[in-house]
Amino acid sequence: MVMVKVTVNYLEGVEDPEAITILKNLSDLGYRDVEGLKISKVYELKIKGSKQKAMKVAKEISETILTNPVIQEYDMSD
Amino acid sequence: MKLEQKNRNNGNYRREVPVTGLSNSSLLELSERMGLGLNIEEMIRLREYFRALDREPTDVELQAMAQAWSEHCCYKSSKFYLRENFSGLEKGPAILAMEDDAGVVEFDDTHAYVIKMESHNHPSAVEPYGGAATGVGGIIRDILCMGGLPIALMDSLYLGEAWARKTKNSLSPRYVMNSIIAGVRDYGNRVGIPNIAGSISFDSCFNSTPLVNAGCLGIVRKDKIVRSRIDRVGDLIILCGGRTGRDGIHGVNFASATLKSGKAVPKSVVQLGNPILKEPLIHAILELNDLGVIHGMKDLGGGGLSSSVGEMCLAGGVTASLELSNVLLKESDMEPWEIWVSESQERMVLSIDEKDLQLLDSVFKKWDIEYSVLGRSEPGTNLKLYYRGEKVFDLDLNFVTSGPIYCRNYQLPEPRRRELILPQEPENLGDFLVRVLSSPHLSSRSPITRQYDHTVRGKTIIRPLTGKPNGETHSDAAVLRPLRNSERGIALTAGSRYDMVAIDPYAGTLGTMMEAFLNILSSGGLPHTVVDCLNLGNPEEPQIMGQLMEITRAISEFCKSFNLPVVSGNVSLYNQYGDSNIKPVPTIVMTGIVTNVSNAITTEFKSPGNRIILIGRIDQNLGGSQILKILEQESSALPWFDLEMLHSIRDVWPGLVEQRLLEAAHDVSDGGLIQTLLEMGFGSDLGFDVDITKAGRFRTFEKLFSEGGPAIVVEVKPENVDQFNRIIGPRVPIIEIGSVTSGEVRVSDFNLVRLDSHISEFKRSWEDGLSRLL
Repeated sequence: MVMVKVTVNYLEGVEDPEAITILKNLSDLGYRDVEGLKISKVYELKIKGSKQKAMKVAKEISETILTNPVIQEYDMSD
Repeated sequence: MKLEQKNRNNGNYRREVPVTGLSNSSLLELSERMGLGLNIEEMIRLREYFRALDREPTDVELQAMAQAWSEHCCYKSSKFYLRENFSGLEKGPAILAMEDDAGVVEFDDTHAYVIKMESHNHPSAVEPYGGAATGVGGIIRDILCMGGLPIALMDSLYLGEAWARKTKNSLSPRYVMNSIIAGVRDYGNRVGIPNIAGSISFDSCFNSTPLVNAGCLGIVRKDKIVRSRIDRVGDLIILCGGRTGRDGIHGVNFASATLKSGKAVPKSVVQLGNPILKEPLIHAILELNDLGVIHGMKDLGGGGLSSSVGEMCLAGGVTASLELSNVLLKESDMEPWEIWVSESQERMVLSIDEKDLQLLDSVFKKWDIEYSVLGRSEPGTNLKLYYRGEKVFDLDLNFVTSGPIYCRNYQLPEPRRRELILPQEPENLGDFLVRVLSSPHLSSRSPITRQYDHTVRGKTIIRPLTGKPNGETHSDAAVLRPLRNSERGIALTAGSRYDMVAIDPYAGTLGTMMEAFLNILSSGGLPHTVVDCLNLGNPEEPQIMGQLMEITRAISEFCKSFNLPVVSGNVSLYNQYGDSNIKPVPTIVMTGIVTNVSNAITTEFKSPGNRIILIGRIDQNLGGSQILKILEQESSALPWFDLEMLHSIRDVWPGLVEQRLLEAAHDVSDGGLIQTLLEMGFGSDLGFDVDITKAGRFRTFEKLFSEGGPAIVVEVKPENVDQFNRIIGPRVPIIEIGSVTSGEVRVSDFNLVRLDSHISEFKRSWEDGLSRLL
């Protein structure tokens, strides 16, 4: 069994309202030094079979189900 | 865009694009390279204009022109025919009809309501969550910019077959459905406006091109209505709300083109909404308006600053001089043209007197809203833009907004032979009903609509779901009481019978209008105004223009006949994936006035023993009905929609409502008479015992499932039947078909019992039909 970690982020330039709201609130709470904030989603997939095969499956899932390529990108690691 | 990036860091922000010397083919190439979306005739017109000026255009100028001349902004394909069909309509109670961003209609002596519906189809096809959410966000701003307090949302969604498999290169219909619903839900719920009306339907033609039509209703004091214009010289022009970014650049050019399979869509055309920012923006804007600070206001929708400022100046007969580097940005390295055409969300443009700047500043600070002063209005005709002091745009507004108007060829649909489709009668009607009630076309919408907040703000009198808590049925129209100190209400309904429109655009649109009309009546209201939102395929195809002609003609004739004004509208074209166009979808929003909300009527049966009366007529023709769609049978002709009879019903209706003779009312539409009766039962777990022999001299199947009309089923207390008959009079046909039972469901026809069952046998399959797909 292989564990594959898929991290999904918004593409550069896509505004994340959730992150903006947290950043703004942090600033209101006194954490003025926090300049940027990014939220990612991490999926940990446990896949049967060889590493090569697992990566292939994970790649397919990432591209077709976990992300919308119009606004998101993903990063895969085992 | 190599050409434009050359002099980037030299402090030289004015970048000319050589156009006057280009050949026709290079013009087209330029249009493509810069993403202008203009065709060859339009490019030639541009070239000739700059030849006459004896200079080259700047990149900002070219981008602005492309935007102003897009289908989305100037309605170049539809304007001619819209004018032809809508220009003769009476304004009636409307204060502003088809003029500014939204329609404004008199509500009572002191207040007016503001209403509009718009499509957000193309963005929702590529990024369903963001597209649907910003559709809702955008329509709220349309209401707000008239000075209106948004009080209700509505949305008509046309989705692909969520049960179908994913096609290559497009998102799966199920993912699209769930994301669109989530987008509508999250935005509306977070910004705190109830979503109370609309429709949801499924068809394979929407598998890759879903339609999202979002509408909003607002209320405004008559003396606080704000126009979308700048008509005073020397006013400050303010941009407030969200920051400007690269999201949504070229959105309108994209919305005015066909989606192609296999072609990656650039992310810059997709916008993301931020309801958490919108909420305080609404408060701040309304507070400023109450203080009398705002002279003119417009939201930034498709086309961004370019189209908003341009249209405001032109409408008010002034021009302006603006400094683009004052715009607050999300990304620091944006080009002047990107700033000017960006369609980032949550932004509004205001014009104010300079002396009010301090007041404006304090209100915006209080609500934590960012703003910037862009410049001033000026006399003259040429709009001037600067970037860090350097002039990057200087054009006559009349030319910029003089987009081409096409009088495109159209081809009317060929008259078809009236074929009567007679499907086989099911052996066991009960089993058959269980099957059709669980189909996505006829099952309960509650698994979806329950996700929307219906009652926030506390003005909702009739919700979209009505009856026993957690076992509700569908309402016909929602009813709101917008003012605290008045019992006057507004009824609201939205929807489309596109399966009928696809067969016959004219008759199908009449059917759509009739259904909206009956929905308002059934809720205890009288129809007041109409808003249309037309979704069509590629206007360069004559059949599509033929559909537009027929649909607008039907809307216009219906409105003339019933003296209803069309107060605002929207046309979305190029709804096409590859070579296949969508079915034509005219979404009709109708408002009604309920003179006293305590007279509003709900759809569920109230008490066993009450009489059930069918008002109007049932048609034999099943054409365009949901039952044929479920049975996958083609039909070629529509039932007859009897407008004369609708007039007669409308005339007697106020008497029935004011004397409170109707315990429940529900019109016959999707699913036919049987669906109407069952839905009335579902809301209170009561049944019915009816004999439909007199409903017509045709088969039981047609009586139960055909969707012609007008027909309304009402529940009347036995002691009120005489009074009911007196008011109805001789002109409106009625048939007393039976009475309400404590749960038994029985249908007889020609002395034969066709159905003998219990309401609980059907309710579960109706309620759970959609949940299986979500």
